[in-house]
Amino acid sequence: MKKLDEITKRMPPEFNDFYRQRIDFIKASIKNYFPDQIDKDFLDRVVGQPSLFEPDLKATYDTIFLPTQEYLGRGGKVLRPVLVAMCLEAYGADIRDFEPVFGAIEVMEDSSIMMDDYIDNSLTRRGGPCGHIAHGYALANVSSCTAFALSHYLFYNNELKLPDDKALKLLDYMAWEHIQMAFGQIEELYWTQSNVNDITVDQYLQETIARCAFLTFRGPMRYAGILADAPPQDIAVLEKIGEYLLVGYHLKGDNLDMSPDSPEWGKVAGEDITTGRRTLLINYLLDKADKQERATIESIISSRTEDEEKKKVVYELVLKYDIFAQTRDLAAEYNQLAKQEIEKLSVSDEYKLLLNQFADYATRRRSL
Amino acid sequence: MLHHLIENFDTEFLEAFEADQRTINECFEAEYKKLSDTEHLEQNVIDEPLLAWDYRAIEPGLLELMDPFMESESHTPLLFFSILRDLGLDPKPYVKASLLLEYSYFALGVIDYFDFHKVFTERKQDLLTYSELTQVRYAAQYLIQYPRYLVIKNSFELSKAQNIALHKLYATIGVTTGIGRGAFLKWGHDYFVSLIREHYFQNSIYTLNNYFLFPAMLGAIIADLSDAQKDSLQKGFSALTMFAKLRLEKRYYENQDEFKITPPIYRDLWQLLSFPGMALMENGLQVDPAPYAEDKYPWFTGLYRDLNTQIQGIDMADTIKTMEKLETELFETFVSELGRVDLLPATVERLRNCYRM
Repeated sequence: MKKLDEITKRMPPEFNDFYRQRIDFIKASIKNYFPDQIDKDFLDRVVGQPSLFEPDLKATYDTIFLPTQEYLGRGGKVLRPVLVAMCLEAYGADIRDFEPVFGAIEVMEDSSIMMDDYIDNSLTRRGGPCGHIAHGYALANVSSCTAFALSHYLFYNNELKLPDDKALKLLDYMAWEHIQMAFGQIEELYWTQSNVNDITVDQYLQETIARCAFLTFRGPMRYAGILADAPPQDIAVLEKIGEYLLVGYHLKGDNLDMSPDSPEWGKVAGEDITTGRRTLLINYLLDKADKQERATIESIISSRTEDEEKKKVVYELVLKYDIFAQTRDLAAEYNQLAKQEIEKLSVSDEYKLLLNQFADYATRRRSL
Repeated sequence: MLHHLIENFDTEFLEAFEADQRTINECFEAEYKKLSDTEHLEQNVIDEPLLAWDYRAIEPGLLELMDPFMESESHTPLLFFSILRDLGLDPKPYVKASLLLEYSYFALGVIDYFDFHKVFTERKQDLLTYSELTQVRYAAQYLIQYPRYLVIKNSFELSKAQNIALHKLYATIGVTTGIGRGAFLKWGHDYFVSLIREHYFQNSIYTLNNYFLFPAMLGAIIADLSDAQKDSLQKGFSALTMFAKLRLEKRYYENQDEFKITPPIYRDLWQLLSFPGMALMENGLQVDPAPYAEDKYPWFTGLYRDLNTQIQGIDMADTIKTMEKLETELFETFVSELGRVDLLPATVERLRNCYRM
């Protein structure tokens, strides 16, 4: 209960109540969806083919399931399943009819952040070692991409017994999101690898949307809308809200990476510098810095340094030019855009309020 | 790669289906150009952006990295064509489905290159190499995802149920090949101690899922076969996969020189294909962990060297005899499963000729 109090303490009141009333159900869904023990029947079901011989269940569990279980076990806020619940209920659906959906969404999220972690060469996540630190890069790679593919079993097996058109619509959207995500990844890694410094704000935000919107938050909102039979015009609005929320959430994340505001962030400060990321924050800084400072920043960012002193040089220049305020303003702008879209939804005022509170919480209070 | 897994592939497939190969190659060339055609991308693959794409990333961030890996061929589209024809369909309208087969093969090659890289076995971190490898790894990720636009656009004019099945097949090929590699890495990290035949066989089927099962099940979906027919195909081609793996392994024991001519870029995939599992299990071989005491994980090439040296010093006759018995059983399972549902007689006959079974 103490941990729940800690997690919910910054949530606006109605959102806080909503969260508390559904969190146990959501956690149980995750546990059921991605069990901490597997048998042959479960494996045959998720791999989609009966095994001809006896599979090595222990090696499969240890390599594919365990690393994601470790992330799940560290108790994130499960914001995406909560958002799915909010959107389902907003359109009159009973979340009990969609019990495995919440587990699927969170397993997708946790298996995919393991990939982010080795791309960023992060050390910790949610206070514990990242997958590649605990299990090595090779296993983290195999584990995260396999667990991510496998986490879709609810949908590719159509275990909710949805009509074909609805099941296919979800699968088509998910496949499209995967393409987007991979294309965004190419852009981001190309910028990093080639030390590209002339990225426009629009390109950076588009890349962020492409790379992250599958789960933050366009995907969950869209899937919930489809599952709950929301009107088509509302689904388009839900997608847009998800994209706007993502931008605010992501920019806040970029700021937190440079300057964590609480131990809850659970990651090492300045990882984006070590990884050589051309975040918007860095691009704004390069814009404002003088010639000599610019050369220093470029040299530090290109060197993939873990040196705290060098990271501090960049951090102090960020403070000098008040770059945090610049990204914060942009995040606030996108939060406002999300709120304008929320008003267009054909849902009750109760759910508009909850979505607004979620928007504020996600973009202003982000941690973990 | 099928030319390594199917014996006499040159005559029975490459020469016999020369026209098919031309059709497939023409499709690949045209589709390769589309990878950097921004109009095609916006209209079909990634859609128009809400804000702005940076297309500069495609050449250095994708094509330059992937080109060396795209030089190899899986040849699975040829088997796919043969299966479709055997199911009474003209394969030409479905030629683009070959992209699903071939791009996942390219991408798996990259993933293996990443997973078996020596740099990850060492204690000392090399961040620059890590980030270069990650770039290659994610270029491959796009290559896996790219052809899914064909399914989303229903390019093969299939029913909704068939397209759902196609989504599932593509996802589960990723799951099985991933599980196969995961368990294999784990076994290697544990120096292959306690490996048993059942596990080894099922894991080989998972690992090599994209060579036989993928083209077969892709054909089954397009031909809209019944569930019972698909079940038999699944079992039959699972048995064939293990059969082919044993045949390859046997050649490895009989003539190791053949395995030294593998293109270097595929040396990592080769580690999965030529793993001497039967020699290890049948002869109780053990790898010496001492050389890796300073490392984070053992390096697979080193493990293989150790095993190869041991194999060269033992009489493999009994192991080969055991393998031949298993091969016969597996091939019979393949034939009987397909015979049970009266499917693919020409393909079965062709494979019989290939393997002289």
